[in-house]
Amino acid sequence: MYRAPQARATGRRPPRGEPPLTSFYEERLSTVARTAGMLAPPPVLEGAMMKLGLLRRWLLLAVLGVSSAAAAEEEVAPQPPVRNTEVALTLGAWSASSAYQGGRSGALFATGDLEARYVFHLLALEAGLVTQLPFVPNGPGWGVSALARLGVSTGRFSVTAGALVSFAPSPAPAQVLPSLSAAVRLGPTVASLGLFDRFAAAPARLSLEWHELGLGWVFPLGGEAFGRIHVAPSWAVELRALAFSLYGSLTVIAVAGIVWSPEVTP
Amino acid sequence: MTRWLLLAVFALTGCDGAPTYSPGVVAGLNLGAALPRGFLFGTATAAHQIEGGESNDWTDWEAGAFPDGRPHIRNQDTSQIADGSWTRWPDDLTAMRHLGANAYRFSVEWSRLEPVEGQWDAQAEANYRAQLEALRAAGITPVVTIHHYTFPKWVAAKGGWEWSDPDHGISDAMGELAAHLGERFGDLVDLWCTINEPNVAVYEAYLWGEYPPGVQDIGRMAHAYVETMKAHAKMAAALRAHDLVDADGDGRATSIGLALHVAIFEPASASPLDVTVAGLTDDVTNELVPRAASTGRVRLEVPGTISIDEEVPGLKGSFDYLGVNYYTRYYVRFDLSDPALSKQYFAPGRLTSDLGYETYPEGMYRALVRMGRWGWPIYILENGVADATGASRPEYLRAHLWELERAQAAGVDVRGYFHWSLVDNFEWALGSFGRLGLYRVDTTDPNLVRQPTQAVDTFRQIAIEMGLTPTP
Repeated sequence: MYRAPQARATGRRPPRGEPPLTSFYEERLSTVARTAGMLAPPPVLEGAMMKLGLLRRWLLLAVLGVSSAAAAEEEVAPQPPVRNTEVALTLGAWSASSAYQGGRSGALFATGDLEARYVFHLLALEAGLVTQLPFVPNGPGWGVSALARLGVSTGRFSVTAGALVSFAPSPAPAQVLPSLSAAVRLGPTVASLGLFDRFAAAPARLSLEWHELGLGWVFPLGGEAFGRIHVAPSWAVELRALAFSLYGSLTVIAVAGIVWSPEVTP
Repeated sequence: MTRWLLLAVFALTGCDGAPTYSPGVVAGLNLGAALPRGFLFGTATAAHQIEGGESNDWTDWEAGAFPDGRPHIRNQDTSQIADGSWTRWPDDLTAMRHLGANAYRFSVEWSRLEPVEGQWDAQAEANYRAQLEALRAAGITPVVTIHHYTFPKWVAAKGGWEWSDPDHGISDAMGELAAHLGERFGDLVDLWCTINEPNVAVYEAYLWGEYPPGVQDIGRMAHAYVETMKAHAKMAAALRAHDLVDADGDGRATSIGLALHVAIFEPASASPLDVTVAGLTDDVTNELVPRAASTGRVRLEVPGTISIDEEVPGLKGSFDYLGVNYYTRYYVRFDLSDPALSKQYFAPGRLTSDLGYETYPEGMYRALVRMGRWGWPIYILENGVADATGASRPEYLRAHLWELERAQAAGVDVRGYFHWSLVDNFEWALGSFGRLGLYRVDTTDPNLVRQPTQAVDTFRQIAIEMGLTPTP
């Protein structure tokens, strides 16, 4: 039995005597299960597929479950996606230092950060390129990080996961780290968390966004602040600062740049 | 408001003002003239690396006598000949006089002095005493290192740095050794260096596994590190109690410190992980020892792995000086596959030694300014370059001396410079590969002749500028 999403959204309990609600998700999943059943392998592959059957079924259920949940959210509360298609280019300064008795040792870099997100229906694809060029030669070297994440973005939440690859001057090898970015709409605010998502640098963070302003905590000791000022349809100026201390090291990043968001107007 | 602005600027810049070395500037300077009267200008060696004929844990390490059964020295070299300095030390003295050096840092070999627990070898003592007397007669101030990486076999059998019997462990045994040396040589020695590079000793032996006993365990490394500090404290106390003779007439019978390997650690990139591991490596390598000697507590923290905060009786106040061994700079990269969570690299495109070490004279200035903040007088107890041709050593020597003079002009109390090394020597796990001597020694030559390299003239020129008098 299918109930209108709006009924679920109001949280209305079924009256006594009425049959229990079958959730929208269960409905979707049972459709998925039936679909999976129809995709039976030819007999010659049946043995091998039997071994993979359970895994296949769970994977299929998981993927379609997430997309079903996302679609359900869309139907429940049609809103623009939490994360929209956009391209941001920022430039600024990046300081990295560590403390010792009576002083600090470190360096100052120029940084450029190009990040892009493409949201198609519910699918979100994020990619970024972050560079650091030292102002002073003969110290810590340049760095380039590339990141890519894939996930979903709905009116209620978005989550993308992927990898971050960082390069430094030879012979230091490339570094591969996980990268995660998630956000959920809570009324007029959006709460977000991330692992190695901000500038491919902040190890973990938790932020709150209200309209075009945001404040956040960066693990283990630090914070971030950011804001956007719309200057034209689809165009905004972004200011962003982030600072955190990690076991004696201190990273301070401050950038300014432009953002193009074709689906957002001031 | 101004304060916050300044703080923000400092956080953004975050630099410690490293000067930039310029070979052109250094070439035209009369180095040495600005150094103060009484500045010690000499060379350094270690017993196992030059004496030849040792029998200790390192000779077992060379021979494959450890449980893994394999030899651990590059090309299976052995230290049995080395420079033959056990008997040829008069040749070394002649070389020092030719250089015009006024100081010499060398180590005594524990396995020669106490080959069996509790049994002291009078002949070995006599040999060292003869060397000390000859040095004094030549106007060369001896700096004696008590422990320079090697242990007698009987100490190694008890666990070396892990000999932790609560009634009588490694620190007690080393305290007794220091007491013995203070009694026997105190009339000739005032400057004592208890332990050479405790940081490198425990890294190599317990983290990288390159030195005996070849362990790779960060926890054991940490505990061995604590033991080195306990041993230093007991050795310092023993020397003060047993060396009561002022050998050089400056009013003090002892001046005690140790030689800390100080390196410059840069993050390989601006990545916070690289910056963090570079900072942690820097802290454990460069800061742990002076912090421990300053506070009397050994604090060692590696996130998620080690947390040590231990009071060491007698450690606070045990330094009269801080010895600094400076060679190079490392770039540090976060690496989960490594027991230290990081790997170290040398900068590409820079001048390097035969061992691949970057020649980074600016690091001498940075190391001195930084270590000077602890408040002790500083001796550079090692600085040198592996250079088989000898062609780059003159400029290396001049550039590092120039940076030392700059640090001194900036207010750092630097009282001596000891070039590593007087003669080519047995370079530990690298065997005969690294040629670091001001004097070349060919180990296939039965006479082991000390042949001057180009940098001998450079050293002599600086000595003359200092007012010293090299022999022809």
